[in-house]
Amino acid sequence: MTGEGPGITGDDDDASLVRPFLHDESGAAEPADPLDLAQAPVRPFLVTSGRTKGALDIPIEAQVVATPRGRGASRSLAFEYRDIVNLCDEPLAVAEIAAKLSLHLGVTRVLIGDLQHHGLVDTYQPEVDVTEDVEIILRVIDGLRQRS
Amino acid sequence: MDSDSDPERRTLPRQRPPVPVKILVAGGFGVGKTTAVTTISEIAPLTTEAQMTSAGAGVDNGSLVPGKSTTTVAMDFGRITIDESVKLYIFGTPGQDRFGFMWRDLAHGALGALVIVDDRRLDDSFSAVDYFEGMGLPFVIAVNRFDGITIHDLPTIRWALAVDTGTRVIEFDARRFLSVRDAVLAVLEEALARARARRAARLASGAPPGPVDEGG
Repeated sequence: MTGEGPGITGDDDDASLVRPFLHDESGAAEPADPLDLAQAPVRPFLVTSGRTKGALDIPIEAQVVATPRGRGASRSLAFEYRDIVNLCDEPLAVAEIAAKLSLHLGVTRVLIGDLQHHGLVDTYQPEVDVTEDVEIILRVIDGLRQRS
Repeated sequence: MDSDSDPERRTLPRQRPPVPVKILVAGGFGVGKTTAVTTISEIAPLTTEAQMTSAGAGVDNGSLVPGKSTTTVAMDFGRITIDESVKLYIFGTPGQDRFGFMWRDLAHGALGALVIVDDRRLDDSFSAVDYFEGMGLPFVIAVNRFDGITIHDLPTIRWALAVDTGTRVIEFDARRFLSVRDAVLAVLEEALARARARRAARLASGAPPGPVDEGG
């Protein structure tokens, strides 16, 4: 049990843990275009095909940033994948991406999970529980007090 | 990767993403959540749609169990960049009672919540108060002064909402920046008090200190 620790993503073993509501979304979400898929150097998954628990657990405030590899590949990505990579030149929250692209939050999360899986974006979330982090909370308070 | 020849490549990370923190703004329909988010956000408030489980209110276990019906609801949110390393997100949670606040996603990791109250319709706020009490999330009750008028005084509102004396009840105006800012600060102060209490408890129990600066 001392293998490399998992990253932010869950392990592939978690594929069976896809939450049921996302299956429902498959109908609503646009299936990825097979034509573009054929050209993509990175083959995006269909939206609901076996995303891992880890991907679905990305917090809505987690920051998403395109990797250099993602930026390089963005032109050959399909639709929403490309939009996300292009949008994430600067760090953006999952919820911001969903709003800017008019995508359902659940779908956005799956797409980001795909991109992350392929190393095209990184997602960052606090490694510690911010609700217990006195220093962070103090910084937020001080920063906000200076606003007027 | 023989990237050593390129000194600029790794020594300076292009950007170290900020730590995101969030608070919630809750309350009944039309109580001023969107106004408050709009007032305080540095960006035009954004809206996204998300899935919400419509099950009974007050249940702390938000796991998505098959068979529960879900509803898609719109959610407004705003952002305040505190500095280059911390961003504060403010999420307006859909407040209607029928959604039951089963939005584990939103509440998980939140520092606290501002429950906005329209004192002409106090009962609209019951579900939010119930929910945050149930999950132990620090919250502050903020009575939105519509046109500068409040019908009930704060002790009456506190009594009507049946919150204990440890819960702060304040007045504010969702249209005024400083007023919303101070309401958010009140929530953050509650969050701070809780974080300090937990840290003290951890130290007392001899457990390793929790958050350590992940810097390195």
